Amino acid sequence: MNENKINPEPTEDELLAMAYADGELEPEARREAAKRIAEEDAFALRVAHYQRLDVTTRTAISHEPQDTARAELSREPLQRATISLGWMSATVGFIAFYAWVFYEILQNEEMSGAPKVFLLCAAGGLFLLFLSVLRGRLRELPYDPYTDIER
Amino acid sequence: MADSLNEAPGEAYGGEMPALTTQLMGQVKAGDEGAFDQLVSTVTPRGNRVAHTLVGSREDARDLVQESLTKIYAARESYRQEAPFLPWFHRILRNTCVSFLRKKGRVRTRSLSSTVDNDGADWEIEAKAPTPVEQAESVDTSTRVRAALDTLPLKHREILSLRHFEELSYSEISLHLGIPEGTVMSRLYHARQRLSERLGDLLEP
Amino acid sequence: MIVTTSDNVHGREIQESFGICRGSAIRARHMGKDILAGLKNIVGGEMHEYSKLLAETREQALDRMMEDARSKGADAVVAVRYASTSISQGAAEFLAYGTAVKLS
Repeated sequence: MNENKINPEPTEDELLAMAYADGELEPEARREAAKRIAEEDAFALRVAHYQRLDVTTRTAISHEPQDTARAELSREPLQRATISLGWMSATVGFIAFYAWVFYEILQNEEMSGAPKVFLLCAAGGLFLLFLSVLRGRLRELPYDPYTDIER
Repeated sequence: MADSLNEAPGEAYGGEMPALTTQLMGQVKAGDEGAFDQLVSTVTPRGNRVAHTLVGSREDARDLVQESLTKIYAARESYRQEAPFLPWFHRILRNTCVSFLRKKGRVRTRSLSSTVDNDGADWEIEAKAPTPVEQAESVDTSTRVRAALDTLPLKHREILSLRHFEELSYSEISLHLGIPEGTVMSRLYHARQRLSERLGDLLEP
Repeated sequence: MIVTTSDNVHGREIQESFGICRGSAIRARHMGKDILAGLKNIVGGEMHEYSKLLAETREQALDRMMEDARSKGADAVVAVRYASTSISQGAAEFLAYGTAVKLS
């Protein structure tokens, strides 16, 4: 820890973001700040930072005995290897299986062309929707203060 | 006396505590012992919780609060009517906690960092409370928050305790500690900065 | 902000009441956690994935309720109640409601 580090004094904006997250602003100021959150990304991120800190700190509760066991287990190399291998294997297996099913259906000569096209459209459509939802989640993640709560 | 730190038969809620305790102390100075009992039951629950955040052990926290109240009773003659009680109580409690931590060798002094308020060097003392689990990677969130809190200077732990665990507003904290609201905000900002630094990646989404 | 399940706040008077304030949230865990939690059905024990999910949803609903109260001009919420509904499988749904008041 740098003994000589001088912590800079907070800016007006910083204190405003903190006061908003703490619910300490008067109604008028609160409305103004809410507008700024909608318009200014940087300001919104600061508010989200204070909200996350508040939520994480207030829900930090006492250590339970089973927590020690869980923590130790999650650090163990064998456990981590088992889980990683399990996920990789299951994911690859499922994707490969579904890819094979698609391929078999498309190759199937007894089925006419139309249902194959419909199937491709449906699958393709669902995949695009999934991508859009994933993007949405990744985009809003920095603003979500509730991801670090234990119980 | 309540067994649990959190049972508060006599505890007053936020708004009236500063005025009530000041009034009671005035009566204690005048020789009213019943008033002292009421004062004790009013401030002990919160005092216990704040002291717990400062020293880390519930047993020690209880003892330190008792010790502080004993000191207050002994000094009742010197209490000034016009001065609010709570800031005085918190100052004595802090000093008692600091002496305790010094004696146990769990204190590490640092050079003064620049702060807006004019407290003495005592406030930059960090207490190294022994934690069973150090800051390891896969330990759960709660433990890491507690461990991070334990490494902060007393002044910051105190204000974080009042804000996050006691859920006092800025104006209530200002009345408790006897500092202006601007200082409350500044000190809270610095405390949270340090806490964020200690928590590091935990706060990344 | 004082938030309590009792109808009154000890030692304070209710100056003004602003009616019901409420907050609700529905959250889901990602599929990986769902699968792990499902496997717990075979071995038993606490489903930490879902405990965490419930806690996140609870806190979000509570914060929304307090925000609602604040926007009405209240500084406390009394008679707080929690409720849980079932809209989707594998998701936690929480409703928190109470009476928004201003204390003296």
